[in-house]
Amino acid sequence: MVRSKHNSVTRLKFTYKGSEFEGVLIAEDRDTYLVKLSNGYNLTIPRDSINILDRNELSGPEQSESERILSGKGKKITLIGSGGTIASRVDYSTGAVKPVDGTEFLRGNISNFEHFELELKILPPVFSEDMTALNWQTIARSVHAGLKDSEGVVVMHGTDTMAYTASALAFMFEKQSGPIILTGSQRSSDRPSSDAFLNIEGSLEFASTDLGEVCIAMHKGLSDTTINLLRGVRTRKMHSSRRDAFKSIGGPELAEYSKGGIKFKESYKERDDSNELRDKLESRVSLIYFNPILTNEDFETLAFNKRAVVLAGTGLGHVSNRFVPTIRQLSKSGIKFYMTTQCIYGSVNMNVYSTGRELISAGVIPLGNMLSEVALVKSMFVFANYDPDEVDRKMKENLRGEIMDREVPFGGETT
Amino acid sequence: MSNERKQKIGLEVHIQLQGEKLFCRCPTESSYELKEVVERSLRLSSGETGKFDQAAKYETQRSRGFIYHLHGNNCLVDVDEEPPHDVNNQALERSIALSMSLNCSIVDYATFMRKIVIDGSNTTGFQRTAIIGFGGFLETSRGKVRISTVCLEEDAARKLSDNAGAATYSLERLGIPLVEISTEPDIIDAAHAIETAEKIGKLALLPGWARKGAEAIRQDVNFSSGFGRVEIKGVQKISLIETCLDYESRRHSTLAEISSKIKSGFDPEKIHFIDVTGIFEDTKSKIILSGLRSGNKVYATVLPSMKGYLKNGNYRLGAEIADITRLYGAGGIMHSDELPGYGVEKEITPIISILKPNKNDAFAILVSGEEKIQIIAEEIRNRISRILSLDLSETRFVDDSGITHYLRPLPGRERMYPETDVATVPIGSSIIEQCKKIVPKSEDQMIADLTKAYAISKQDATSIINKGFTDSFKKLTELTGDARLSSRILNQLIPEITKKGSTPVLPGAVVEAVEMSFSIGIVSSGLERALLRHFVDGVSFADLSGMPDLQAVSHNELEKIIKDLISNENDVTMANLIPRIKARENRIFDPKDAVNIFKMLSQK
Repeated sequence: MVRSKHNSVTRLKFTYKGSEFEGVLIAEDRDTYLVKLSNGYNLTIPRDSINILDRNELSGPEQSESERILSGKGKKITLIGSGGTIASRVDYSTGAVKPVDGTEFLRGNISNFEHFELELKILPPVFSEDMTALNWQTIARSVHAGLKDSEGVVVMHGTDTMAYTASALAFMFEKQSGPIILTGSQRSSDRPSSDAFLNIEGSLEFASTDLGEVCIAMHKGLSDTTINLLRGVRTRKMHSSRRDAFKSIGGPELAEYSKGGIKFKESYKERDDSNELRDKLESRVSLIYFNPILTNEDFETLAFNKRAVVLAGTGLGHVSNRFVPTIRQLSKSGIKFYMTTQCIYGSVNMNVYSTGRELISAGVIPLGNMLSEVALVKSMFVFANYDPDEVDRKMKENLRGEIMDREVPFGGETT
Repeated sequence: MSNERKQKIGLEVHIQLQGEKLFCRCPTESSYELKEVVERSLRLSSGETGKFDQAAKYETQRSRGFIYHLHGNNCLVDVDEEPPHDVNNQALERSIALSMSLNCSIVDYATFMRKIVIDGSNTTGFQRTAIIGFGGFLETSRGKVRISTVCLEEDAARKLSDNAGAATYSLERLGIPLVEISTEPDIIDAAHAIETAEKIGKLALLPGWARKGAEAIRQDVNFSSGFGRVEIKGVQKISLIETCLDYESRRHSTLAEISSKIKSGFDPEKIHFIDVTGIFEDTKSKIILSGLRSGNKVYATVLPSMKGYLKNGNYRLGAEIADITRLYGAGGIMHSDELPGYGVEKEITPIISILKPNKNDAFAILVSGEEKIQIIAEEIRNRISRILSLDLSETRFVDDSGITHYLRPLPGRERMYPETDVATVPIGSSIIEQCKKIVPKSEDQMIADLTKAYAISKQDATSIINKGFTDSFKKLTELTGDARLSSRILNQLIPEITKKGSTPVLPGAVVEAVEMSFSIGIVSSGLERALLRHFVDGVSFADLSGMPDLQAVSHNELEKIIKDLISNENDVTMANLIPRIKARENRIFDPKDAVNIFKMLSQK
């Protein structure tokens, strides 16, 4: 185990391979010392090669020059930190990035800081990949509290599952009195080239509009010039590392922020006069990603004891014919099946081929161009909040803009 | 002189390695075709201890945007859109081998660091670097120069332009493996610095590891004359080492002189810019007019106790101030040591009445944007205070004429923090053994080896090695069996072909041509003639094969010709034998052989 040397400073004077060095011990483990030399370089030195001449413990951490954030004047926005690289620093003991414990990282780094009265709430930090429905509910309640006493809320979130959280919030808020903006960063905020600050800057601007939707605000392109506002239930992380990873699927972004201000490009739902949070979520749901070697056994395992199963089928909404009897049988036992396309772009249409028609007759309900992950989250909301005889109708109903009735052959990108 | 004794010189030699980039598999070479433009900004971040680096903080204050030009040899890694890939093994091994040739100890682990550089020259805002070797030395004609460290790092982007609003960089150079070799301040003078730089550079040049081209090997020169260390960046040409050291040395002694004269009378708080735009409403100064048209204002300040030191004989304190204002995009200053001038004349009296300088005070006029004037004033106060207290430590850069200029404060250890995206690379015994096999030899050793192995002159060997022709020479000698002929072809014939022909010819092409010539029956003694005809006159090999003066007469044929001569021309003697054969035969023959045949036949 690596032991952190964070709270006290150990100065070392030592020889290594015949040269004498001085430095600060950053970490040590069973085999090695990690030392920051007086010229700033780090050396990793095997324990059996180092000859320590002098070891000097200095008490207390070195003081940081940073100060606590001072709030500006203007519209009040609540900033919620839920984890992720956007509010993280390097952990020098393990070399990993860990969440910040304060807000000083914003100071001097966003240009509109003075324009807002900011209140920051830090939730117990969770890495994006560790988020569960319980975290969505915690965030939702925090957002709800934030909306009650501010104009809008910005949630800082890890990017990996940010689109899931955005969908969850979108469905859980039947009414919202201000914008709910999720933002993250693809380059952690301890890097000079981080995209975090412009993303936050844009998010604050979007959070002060009359928008009444849950949206994601991230870079439009590779330049630090423009931030896209994307409808949460139509958004997907489409690249593992680029800062413009988040894309609106099948339609354009709602708005853009740049130095010139905000430009809305699409119509949007305006904010409500009050808030209504329905934060119950059904956990007995699953998402099955069809592939040619998927077996009936796997399929049954994944569908076991679920109330709703979202299928990510091929093309227009297909899984192999070999699953039709299984689906028919499981449907009769009360499990609901919904079809989406793993093509990501485009809509399912199960009338074109016979397999699609057979799947429908076996009980599968097509969900148009709803994204697979969105359908999964929506089923959690619908099954927890509506009676069993209402769920199919609600799943097919366009509740938050998750279904696009029109996909136009111009203006958008397909990949 | 005591000043001479205090003078310390050290070098940082940067060598670009050719092949692939350090943390991605892009080639180091590019066709310079612009593919994409990306705009970025960089922000300051703190190191492990939560402190900010002075040099980085300074760059942030200049708050510019950056424009990056992407080329064919750029991928997502270069534009900081993807984490770095594994370290380039070839570059790692070569940096280890170079460390070994400089007698360094090799680290057990290559631990990559982020060196914060937010002048925009790295898209990430930092340069990745790791110590590979340390504690070595280089033998020079004037004793050992100790090597403090050998680092393996990423090269930075190339600056295309720089102005107040944004700096533009081209990314084709970004990420090229760069070996940084730092010496201790053991270098005696400029000539010694040049020898050291050349010796270090050749270690990578001679085995063909370094890239070709002007920027492949660059030096930073560290200089001190007892008033703090000055790091002079980007001395690309070796010839500039002497000029910039000379300039810097004079600068230090002049500043020491100025300091002794005005130190006590200097009150930095008197430096305070006042908006005097109103006075310049109908100015005749073109510089000020164009500044005003672009929305700037005119400011003036007292420069306390500096009268006669701004620009007067050797005194150039004005240039020290202008270096700062230019870095903040405000252009230079106009100061009282050179006014009236620049079209500024009638404005002087009203300015003096506003500033009310004392009799030893100077004053300066500056055109600047309103938002930057406070920070410029603070920088001037800080820098002049430091100069007058004779703390001259800072980072400077050298221009093409060898004059150095202020660039930024010296970076501290706070600018280094761990690169968490790259795993620490253990350098185990198998890597060490592999690297030992490729340790580059010094130039002297290479020359001695080649001279001995091929029995050629030292001069020829030196030329072959320095031109990078060693491999071609070895191949050529295998073909010709004649090292001197091979040397002549490479050292004399290639320059002759290049001079006479329209395009330069590469040694590889010559080796191929020699192989071809032999395959069509051209003999060694006709080889040089054949190559000239082929490369200069454009004669094809098919046509060369029919040219008699490139072919040899066999022993039997020669015997036949001589027999014929003896029987038909009865006045043939030993003395006229050779011309007689030549009169009958265009092809090449061995005269010794002819004489032997003649003797034998005459005796019969």
